[in-house]
Amino acid sequence: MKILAVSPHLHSGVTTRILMRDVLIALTPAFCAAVYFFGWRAAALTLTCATTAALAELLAAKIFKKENNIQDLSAVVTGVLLAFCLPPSLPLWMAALGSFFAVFVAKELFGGLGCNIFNPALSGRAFLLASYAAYMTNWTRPFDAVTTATPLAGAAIATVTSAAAQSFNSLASYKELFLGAVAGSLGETSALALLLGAAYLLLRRVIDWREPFSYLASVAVIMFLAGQDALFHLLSGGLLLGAFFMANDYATTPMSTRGKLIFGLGCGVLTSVIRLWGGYPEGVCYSILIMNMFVPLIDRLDEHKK
Amino acid sequence: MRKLLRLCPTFGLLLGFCPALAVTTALTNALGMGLAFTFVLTFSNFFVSLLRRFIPEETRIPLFIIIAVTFVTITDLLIAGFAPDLYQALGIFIPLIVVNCIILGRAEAFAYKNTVLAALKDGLLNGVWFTFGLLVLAGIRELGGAGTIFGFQALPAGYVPTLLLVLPPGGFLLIGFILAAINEQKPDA
Amino acid sequence: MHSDYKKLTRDSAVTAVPAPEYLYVPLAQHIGAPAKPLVAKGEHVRRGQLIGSTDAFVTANVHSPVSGEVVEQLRIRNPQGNYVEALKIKNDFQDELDPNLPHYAPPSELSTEELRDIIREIGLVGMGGAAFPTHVKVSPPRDKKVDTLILNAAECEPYLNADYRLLLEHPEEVVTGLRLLARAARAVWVVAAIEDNKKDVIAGLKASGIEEFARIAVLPSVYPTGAEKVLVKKTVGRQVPPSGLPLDVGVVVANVGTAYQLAVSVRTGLPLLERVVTVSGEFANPGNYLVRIGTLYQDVAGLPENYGQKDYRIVSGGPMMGFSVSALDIPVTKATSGLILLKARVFTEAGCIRCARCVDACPLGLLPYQDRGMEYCMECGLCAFVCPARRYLVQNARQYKMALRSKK
Repeated sequence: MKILAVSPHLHSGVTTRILMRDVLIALTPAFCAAVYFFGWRAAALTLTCATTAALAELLAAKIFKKENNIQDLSAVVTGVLLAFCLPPSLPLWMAALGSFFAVFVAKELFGGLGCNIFNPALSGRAFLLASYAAYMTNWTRPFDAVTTATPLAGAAIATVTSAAAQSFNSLASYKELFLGAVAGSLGETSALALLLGAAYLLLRRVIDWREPFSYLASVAVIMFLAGQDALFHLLSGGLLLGAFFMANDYATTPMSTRGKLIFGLGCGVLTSVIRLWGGYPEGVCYSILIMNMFVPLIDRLDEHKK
Repeated sequence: MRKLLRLCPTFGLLLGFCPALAVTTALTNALGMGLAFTFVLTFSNFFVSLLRRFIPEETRIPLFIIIAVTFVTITDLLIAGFAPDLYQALGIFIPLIVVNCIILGRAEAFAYKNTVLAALKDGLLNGVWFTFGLLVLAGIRELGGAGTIFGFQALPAGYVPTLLLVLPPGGFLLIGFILAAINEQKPDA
Repeated sequence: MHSDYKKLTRDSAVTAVPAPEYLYVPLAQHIGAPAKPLVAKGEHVRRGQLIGSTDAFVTANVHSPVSGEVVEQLRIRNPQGNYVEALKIKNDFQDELDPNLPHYAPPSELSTEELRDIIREIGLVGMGGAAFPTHVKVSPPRDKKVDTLILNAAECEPYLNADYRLLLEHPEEVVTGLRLLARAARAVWVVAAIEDNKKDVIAGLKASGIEEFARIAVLPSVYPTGAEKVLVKKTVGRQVPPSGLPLDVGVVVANVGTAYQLAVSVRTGLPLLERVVTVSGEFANPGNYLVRIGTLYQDVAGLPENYGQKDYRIVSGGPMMGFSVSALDIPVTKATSGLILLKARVFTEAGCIRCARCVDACPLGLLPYQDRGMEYCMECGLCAFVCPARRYLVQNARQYKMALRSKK
C-alpha cells in the first residue's frame, strides 16, 4: 500500500489527546491538594464530574450522529475543571447536572470541541450558581468541614465595613493561602499546586503565557492602585485556577498574541471590578465568561492586518 | 409535527416572546395570560374584520391598535376586579398585550382581508396556540424551577429547585433548546 | 526538533553508484519551457551529449547521463504526478564521453558573459527543489539590479543531508562555484547562510578562501530557514514581496548543489549529469548517493529490498515540502534532493480546537486556520506539522491559492 498525501509528511506527534492528557497531569497536584484538604468528597466530586462529562459527550455524539471524540479527553478535562470550581459540600447529583450542562449544552450544542463560545466548565459553574445559589456558596473549612466564609468573602465584608488592609491577614495568612489551607472551591485553594501544574504546562508549551500573565498582572496592578493587598488577591479565590486553566482554554480565547493580551487584560479588569464593587466576592468565573463573548471581536482585530 | 408547530406563534413564528419569557415562571400566570390574550385576539380580529370596509388603508394601524386597546382595557379591568392575585403576578404584561406582534400581525395579515367568521376562527386558534406555547414553557419552568404544577407540589419534597429555570436566562435557554429541537426535525415534505 | 532526522545520514559519505540499465531522462525537469529532443529513437548517445534543448529563455538544457542508445521517447510521471516527455536511454555501461565536450578556461579567467553562457550550456538549475534555471537567475532584466548573492546552505528540511555532505566533502568546489556565480550575477555582496547545526563545515569553507569575497551568516537551525523568502529576510534583512522573487529586492539565492555543479562543470567540461540524493527515512542503513539523473526511483541505491511492496509513504524531496509519490517508475531529476521512506500512517483530521499553534508556527505570520491571507503561503508545512488536530492546513492553502488563481 502506498500512502499518497499532501506535504508535510512529518508531524510533531502532539495531538489534541496529548494536550488534554498534559492538562490532566497538570491538574493532578491540585487534585491531591483538594483531597488532602477536603477529604474523600473532593475525590468523589471530581470523579462524578469527569464521568458525567464523558457520558454527556457520548450521548451528544449519539444524538447528533457524529463521531464521538471521547478519546481526545477534552470532556474529561472539562469535568475535572468544573469539579475544581465547586464547593466541597455540593451534593453529587448537582455536580453531575452541572457537568452535563457544561459538556452537553455549553460545548456540544454549540458544535463540539473548538466551536463552543463559552468555557464549558465555567458555564457549568454559572449554571449551578444560578440554580442552587445556597449550595454553591456553602463553603467549608479544610479538614473539619465546618461552614465558614472564604477569605475573599470575608475580605469583601471587611471592605464594606471599611476595615484596613491588615484585617485581610487575620482572615488567612499568605502561607495558608499559598498552600491552600483555606475555605474555597475544591481545586482553587492551593496556589502552590496550581502553580506546579501551570509550570508543567508552560514548560510543555501546552499553554501560552500571555493570557495568564496579562490577567494576573492587570489584577495585581488594579488592586494595588485601589489600595488593596495585591498579593492577597492574586492568591485567593479562583484567580490562579482561572488564569492558568480557563483563561487560556483554546476554544474560547483569542488566537493572536495581541488578542491574548487583550483578553487577559479584560478578564483582569472585570475580575477586579467585580471583587471591588460587585455583588459577588469572586469574579473570575463571570469575567472569563464575559470576555469569552468578545473573542470573535478580538480575533477580527488581527484578521485583516496581514 | 414540525408543520403543526409552525402554527404556534411562539415556536413557529417566534412572535410574542416578551410575555412568553416574562410570565411563564408559573403555570397559573401562563394560563391567565393565555386566556386574556386569546380573548383580546379573538375580539380584535372579529372587530377588525367587521369594520374592514370602514377602516381606510392609510390609518389602519392606529385603528387596529385602538380596537385592540379596547379589549385589553376590558381584560385589564376584569382581571383586576376578579383575580387580583393574577393581576399582581402579570402586572404590566396585561396592558402590554396591545403591542404584542401577534395581535397586529393577525389583524394586518388575516382579519383585514377575510370574513368575520374566518377572522373569529383565526383569532381563537392563534390564541389557543399561543396559550399552548406559554403552557409548555411554564410547565417545564415551574416544575423544574419550583417543583410544583399550578402551585401544587408535584415533585418529592426533597427536590431542590433548579432556580435557573425561573430566572430570565433560563427562559431564554429553554426557548432556545425547544426551537433547536424543533428545527432538528426533518422538514415535512 | 529535526536534529534526529538529520543524524541518520549526517555521517554517511556521498557514494557514487553505478547507473542502471535503463534511464528515463525527462525533457522538462525545470521551471520554464520543456526542452525539445535533439536525438531520435535508435540513435547512439554519449555521456554528456546534449539531447534536449530549446530556444526559449526560461528553460534548461538536458544531457545524456550515460552512453548508450535512445530506446524511445515516452511520457513519464514526474514526482508531482504530472506526465512529461522523457527519453529512455539504454545504458551500454561504457560511459563513453562525448567528444564535443568543451574545455573551459580556468575559473579565474572567465568573464560574466562567458559564465552566463556556460551556465546555460550545462543546463544548470536550482538544485534545492524548485529547479529554476540558473542562467535566468543570474541574468536579471535591465530594470532589476542584483547586488547580493546568497548561498543557501541552510538545508533546513529534516532528513536531507545532500548539501551538507557536499559542503563537508568538497568545500573548495562549492567556494569556487559560489565565486563564479557571484561573477555571473555581478553581485557586490556574497553571503553564505549556514544553519548553526552545520558549523563544522565552516572551517572547510574558510580554508577554501570563502572569506576573500563572502560573509558567512550563521542562522539558527529552525525550519524553514532555508525557504528563500525567510532566508533573504534573515541574512540581509530584505522583505521579498508576497508574490515576488528574491530578484525583486536585488538578491539571488543559489543552492549548494548548484554552486558545486558549476565548479565541477567548469573544471571538467561535463554538464549537469548527476546529483547527490539523500536516501533516508524509517529503514536501516540510509545514506547519501551520487545518482545519475534519469535513474528510476526503483533503481536508486540504498533503498531497502522490496520496499515497493511494503507499506511506505515514499517522499520525493524533503518530508516537509516534498511530494509523496504513488509509483516507483519516476525518475530522479535535477531537483531531487532526497528520497525519504516513511512508515505508512494514515490520519484523519479532527476538529480545530483553536489552539493557535499554527498561528504561532507560521514563519510568514499568516493565519493558517482560516483562508484569509493564505495566498502568500509558501507551503512550508509547519502549521500542519504542529496542528494537534492534524488538519490538512497546507492542502487547504493550496486549494485556496488554486481557486484564487482560476478566478483571475
